[in-house]
Amino acid sequence: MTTATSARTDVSLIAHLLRRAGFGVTRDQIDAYTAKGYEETVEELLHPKQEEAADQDLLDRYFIASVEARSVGHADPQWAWRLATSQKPLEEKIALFWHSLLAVGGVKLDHGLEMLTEIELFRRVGLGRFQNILIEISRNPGMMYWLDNQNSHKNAPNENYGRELLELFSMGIDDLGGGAYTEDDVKTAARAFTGWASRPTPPPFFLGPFPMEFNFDSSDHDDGEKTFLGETGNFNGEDIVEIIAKQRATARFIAFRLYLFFVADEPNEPEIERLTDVFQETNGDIRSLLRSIFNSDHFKSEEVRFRKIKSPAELVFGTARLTDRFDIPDMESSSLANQALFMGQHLLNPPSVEGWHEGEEWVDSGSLIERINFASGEVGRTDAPGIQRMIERVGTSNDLLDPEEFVEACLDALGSIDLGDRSKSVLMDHASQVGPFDSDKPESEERTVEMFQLIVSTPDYQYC
Amino acid sequence: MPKNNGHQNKNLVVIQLSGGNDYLNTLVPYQDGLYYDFRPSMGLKGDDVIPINDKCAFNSNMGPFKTLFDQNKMAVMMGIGYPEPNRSHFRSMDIWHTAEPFTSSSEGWLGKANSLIDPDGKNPVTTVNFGRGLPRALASQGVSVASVGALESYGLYTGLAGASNRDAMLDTVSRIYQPMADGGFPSRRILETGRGALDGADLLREAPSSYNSNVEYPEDNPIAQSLKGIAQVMSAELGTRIYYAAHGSFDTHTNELVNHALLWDQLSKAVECFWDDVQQQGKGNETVIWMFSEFGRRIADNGTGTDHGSGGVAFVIGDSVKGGLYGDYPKLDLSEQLEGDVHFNTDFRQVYSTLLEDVLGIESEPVLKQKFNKLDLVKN
Amino acid sequence: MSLNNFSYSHTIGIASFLGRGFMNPVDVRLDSKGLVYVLSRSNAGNQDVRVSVQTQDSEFLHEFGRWGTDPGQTTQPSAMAIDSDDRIYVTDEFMHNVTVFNREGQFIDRWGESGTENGRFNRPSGIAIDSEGNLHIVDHLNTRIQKLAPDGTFISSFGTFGTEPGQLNFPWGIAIDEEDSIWVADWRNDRVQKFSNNGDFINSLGSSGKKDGQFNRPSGVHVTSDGSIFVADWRNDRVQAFTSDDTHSETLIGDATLSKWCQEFLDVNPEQASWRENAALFEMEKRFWRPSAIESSDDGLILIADSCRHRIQIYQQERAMAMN
Repeated sequence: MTTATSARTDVSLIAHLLRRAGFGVTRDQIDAYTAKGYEETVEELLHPKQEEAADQDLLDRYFIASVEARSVGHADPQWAWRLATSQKPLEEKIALFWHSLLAVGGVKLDHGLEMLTEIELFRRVGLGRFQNILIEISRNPGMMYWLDNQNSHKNAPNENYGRELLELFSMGIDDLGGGAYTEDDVKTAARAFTGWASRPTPPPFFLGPFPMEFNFDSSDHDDGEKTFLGETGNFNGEDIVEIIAKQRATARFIAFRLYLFFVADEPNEPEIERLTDVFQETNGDIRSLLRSIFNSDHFKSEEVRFRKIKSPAELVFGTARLTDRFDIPDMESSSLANQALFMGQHLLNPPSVEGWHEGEEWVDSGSLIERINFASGEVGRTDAPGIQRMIERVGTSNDLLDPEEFVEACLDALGSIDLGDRSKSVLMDHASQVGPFDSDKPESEERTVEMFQLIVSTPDYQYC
Repeated sequence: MPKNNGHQNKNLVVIQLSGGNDYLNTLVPYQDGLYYDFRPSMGLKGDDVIPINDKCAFNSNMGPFKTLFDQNKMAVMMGIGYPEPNRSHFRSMDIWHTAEPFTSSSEGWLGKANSLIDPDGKNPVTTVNFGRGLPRALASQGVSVASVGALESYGLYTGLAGASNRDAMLDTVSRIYQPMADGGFPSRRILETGRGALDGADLLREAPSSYNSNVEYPEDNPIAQSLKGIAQVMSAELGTRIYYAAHGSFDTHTNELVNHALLWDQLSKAVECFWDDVQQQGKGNETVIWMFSEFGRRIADNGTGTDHGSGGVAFVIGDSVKGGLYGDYPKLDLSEQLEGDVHFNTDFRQVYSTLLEDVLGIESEPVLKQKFNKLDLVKN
Repeated sequence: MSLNNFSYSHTIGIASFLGRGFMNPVDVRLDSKGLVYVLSRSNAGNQDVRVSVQTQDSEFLHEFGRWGTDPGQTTQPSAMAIDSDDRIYVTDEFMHNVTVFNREGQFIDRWGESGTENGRFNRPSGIAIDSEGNLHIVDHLNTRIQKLAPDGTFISSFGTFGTEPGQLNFPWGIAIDEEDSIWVADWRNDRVQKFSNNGDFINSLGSSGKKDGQFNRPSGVHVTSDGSIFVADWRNDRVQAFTSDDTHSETLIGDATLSKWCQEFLDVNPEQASWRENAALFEMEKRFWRPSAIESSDDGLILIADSCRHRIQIYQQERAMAMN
């Protein structure tokens, strides 16, 4: 391998990592990360500094209604800004992962402030131990309300949380709807979580919303003996979570979900088995699991590159980030949340407790039209500094570029991405209709932008 | 088009009630003391019900449904369900979408119906979905479904400033979205989706221009707006056979009395407007509405709502429908319950097979993988 | 030297998207008749912005300046000022302009656009009027205070970005005292700075922190006719008062009772009232949540825009010594 080829390999590998561990980055940022090195970049991604964002004050000032966000719509400017600008991409990506897996939706919990609190919770604990994440979410007042645990009483347990905790949050169900647990385990879990609730808050209709608080009411808790997954004791919710976190089924379920979210839409059985072992060896340490994923030969292989359909959030924020146009929170940044909604992903409002389905289901003919229109609009923003730098990058060569070189230069400028052979050849054909690319010609900028727009319109661009 | 069993081919409008509609508070057994025993907090009586006979009553927010029922245009499917019910939204909806209670499938029953109606995929708008995202019911390999938010702004690069070269760009995009063999990259499914999107976009964008109606659908009622869009596509005569819209969420674990009433009020008004519109278009005889939910809810309330149950109620509406009550109202006695739920007595796949054959005019067996006894639901 | 003695008086307001009530009120001003003008900002993109006018005892009169970009509309309003003829000037951070209304709320004029040249703006926020009727506008992303004639004609400007004394860092609110000195809420420097009418730095008040006399992103400053200084200590959810020699005298954390409008709402919605009783968060209900601006009347009323609780909390300042 020549030095040039190897450098290009490094660049495209780093680009792959940042598409998966984040939302993609600009070509210049790829260079910076490449200089740092792959494993160092992985470690940096895995250890986001936990502190309030330096621009939180500005965001609150410009979007004052998002501070006391009464609804999900009022909260949008907050998360949209982070997704568009955060320099800690994995912190946002892991929050999105848990937001879909431990899903609480605004349809019922119409409380934007609490939804933002949950995203913050996932930023804070989302890379830690799974058992801790489950405990935190079980003590989350929004989740308790969402799954009706405030109506689960010592003498009349509400099964909703117990069921979803097992079925959707930890152990999973197989294809037939029967899992490694029984209906009795569901009922027992429900009993163990009696007394776990959200403290009542005043109605939001006259003074706005009030922050929600968790409350454990020991007088409403069923303290009796319980048998759960073969173990017997006077279990409380913490004990249930501890038992759940030990189960191989849980390890496998989380390994499976992490694989689908970070690696590929098509599950790879040996790799999921390997990750299941890592989960068990590390007591469910999510950071260790992700390190094991990102540093694996499987993750780095061509086999999984561009084998994951971008979620709307990945498509929207990944493309918007190319523009590098978000200096200060404004309506442009806050409206990005709506773009994801138009493509089928309403952030802070997953459709149900099962969150969103990853993979090809994201793309239907309606959402594909939204994707193409949005992405081509973004890369067409010639006034945006990021797009200007991309145009310059394509235009740096003094030589004429033949159609293949021109298409490759545009793909590189868009963040070292690639296309399948057929799409590439159609685009080369499109370029050849005008002839070689000459950066000195006045129409060169328009040609470049048009090629960017065509690239992001391809089916290939729907993959990350 | 072929005719089956002497029935005219008709078009199907599906309204999905997402979240698990509470059967007992939709079609209320208002003379059954057990109902009130099990529903001390949620039992509907007096002004909250509209009796239709000496056993059953509609929820009072279903006035327009009562009218359609009295006109014999509405079949009420009591106790509908499937064997070994599942109380997970995810799984149960999947079962209704795929008509496969025992195995998991990614193919939807209407997606498969679409591929039988239009085997070569000639019409990209054979199925039109109103709303964002494709329900699994409509998914099938090789079938492209138009998913529409607003008809007027549907299409590619419609908002692109400075795209002087739009036609050449569209031509290139069109060449890229040509289906390839399985296993390639991009996947066949994505390519087919793109193909359908491009072909359908132009057709649908034009639909409202041919629509002329004096029916005023309520603006702040999402299901009414979806049904209005369906009426507009109908009026454009694009050969669409299957329309899909969803309404919800009916997941009324808490505060059910308020939320359930609101949902049914919206739905009743929407259906009333839509049926008026359909009849004005002279399409009452060739249009059938099918309305279902993934499950009913527990017989006993939990104080403020009801939890996931099994066995439910569904509706078939149309001028060509033989109105009335179908199936039996399930018994509420403890000894007759299934783990706190009602037992189903009509398999939903019997209705599917009837809708496939007597409404859509296609064979049901390739879709449902077995033969089900049809119901005598359709007049002509 | 007078001591500031406060007593809580009453509260005006209820959360509402239009009509009677407010949505994230970020500024409050009194006109010559003592009517209360409240600027609702909400989020840019949410259509509940407006200026609403009411009496001090909660009689809602009318509203104007609703959401939009047409003349007479505002999109992301930040602050307002009322001149001696009761004309209302509203700054808009989205359109980078100032809209002028008459006392009936009718559109008179608007001027300003995005830019760095004199008379142009980059997110104009605080606005105040001096004794000669000239406007002083915090042109906050251009980091300067512009002095303009009432018709928008540029007169002068001062201000540079930085943290040194006299420099500004995302300034927000502004006030003019009886001597025509200019007080600026130097928001990101966590201080309030005093300048002469032509922009010479005089002194600064406060530092970063939570103690008395310290600030966390002060958004508004106001100087009463007797020289008391009030600062909306925005991110500390409190208002601090200082005597005219800059000595901290009082910290207010909010004492709100139910406004007349809230009480009426609860009376006709008994289930909401019992929901509130059940939650019993009465102490939390009283407190400021991001108070952002302050206004006073000559007879000692202090009005505070409690932006995240959709209300104006009103205090009475006793001026025993000053009256001697």
